[in-house]
Amino acid sequence: MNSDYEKQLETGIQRELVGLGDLQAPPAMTARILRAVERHSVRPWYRRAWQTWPPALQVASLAGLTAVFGLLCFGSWELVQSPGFTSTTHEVGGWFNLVSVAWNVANALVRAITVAIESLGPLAIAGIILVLLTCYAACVGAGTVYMRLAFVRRSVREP
Amino acid sequence: MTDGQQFETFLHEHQNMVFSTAMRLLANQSEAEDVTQEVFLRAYERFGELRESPTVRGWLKTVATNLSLNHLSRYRARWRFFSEIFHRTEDDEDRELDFPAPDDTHEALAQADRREIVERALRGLPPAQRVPLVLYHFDGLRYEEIAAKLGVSLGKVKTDIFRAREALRRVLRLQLAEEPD
Repeated sequence: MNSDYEKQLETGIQRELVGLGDLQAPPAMTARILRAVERHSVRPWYRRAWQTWPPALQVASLAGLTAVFGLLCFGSWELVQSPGFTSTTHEVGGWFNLVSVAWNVANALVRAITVAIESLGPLAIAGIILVLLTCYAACVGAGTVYMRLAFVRRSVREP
Repeated sequence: MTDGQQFETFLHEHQNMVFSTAMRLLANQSEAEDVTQEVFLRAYERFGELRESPTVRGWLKTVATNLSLNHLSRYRARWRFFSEIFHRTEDDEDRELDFPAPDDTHEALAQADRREIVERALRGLPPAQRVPLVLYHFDGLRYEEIAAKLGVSLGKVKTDIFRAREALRRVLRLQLAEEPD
């Protein structure tokens, strides 16, 4: 792209767009917003932003949240100290053993596939890759055709 | 003057600017009206501090821009991908701006409603081109800021804005000293 041309184009378009000014909002816009504001302002306090709550409720909610947080911390500490906690951690550890078994199976599968691929000739591998690429291209093509048909842009015609 | 009356005056003063910002980004009147309403609801919640603020226009414009972009972001992943496909060929590029320039464009442009023609041309641009163009020319953002805001590469922003300008130039029949090869 020619930078002189780009600069001229930018200046020309800027001149056109700056001259536009603001669009006129629809005449019903003001009434619509005022109605929405009226509905908005009669909402109960608990449906408004926390900053707009009455100060007493703000303090009470802060105190309540602090108490809940303190209880959670205390409860967690008590749980960790309880005698049943060790057996629970063993049980949870057992669940993770399942993950490790699944990982081993996946590894074995990957190794088997690798051996199978190594035993194939380069021509067969190229053929498989070609088939996969063709499938992928067909999917993208079908998707593009679908999008073009489904989202045909409306023409804007001059009166 | 009561708070309600003050807010109504505030609304009258700024609603065109907020509506224009949303409309140019979204190119859809009902969506732009929804965004405008949401902007003023947020302004109402902070009216106490906004009414005296010298930067109120900037605040309203920023909120309108962000809400419009949030609205578009639901579709952004789709149009980011498909805008790439739509720009593959010159033939496609010519079809992107679905706004036919009439044969008598020179005469039409000479008449008073050139603004309407420019607005229509803007609305006719695909979102992938219109949004960065509007952010650049109306909001005064730099290419890097637009790329960060839209989450796309700098190169894509530059290309999309260039294509949008080219499309507008074709429709508006802008005469430049140096035409492209």
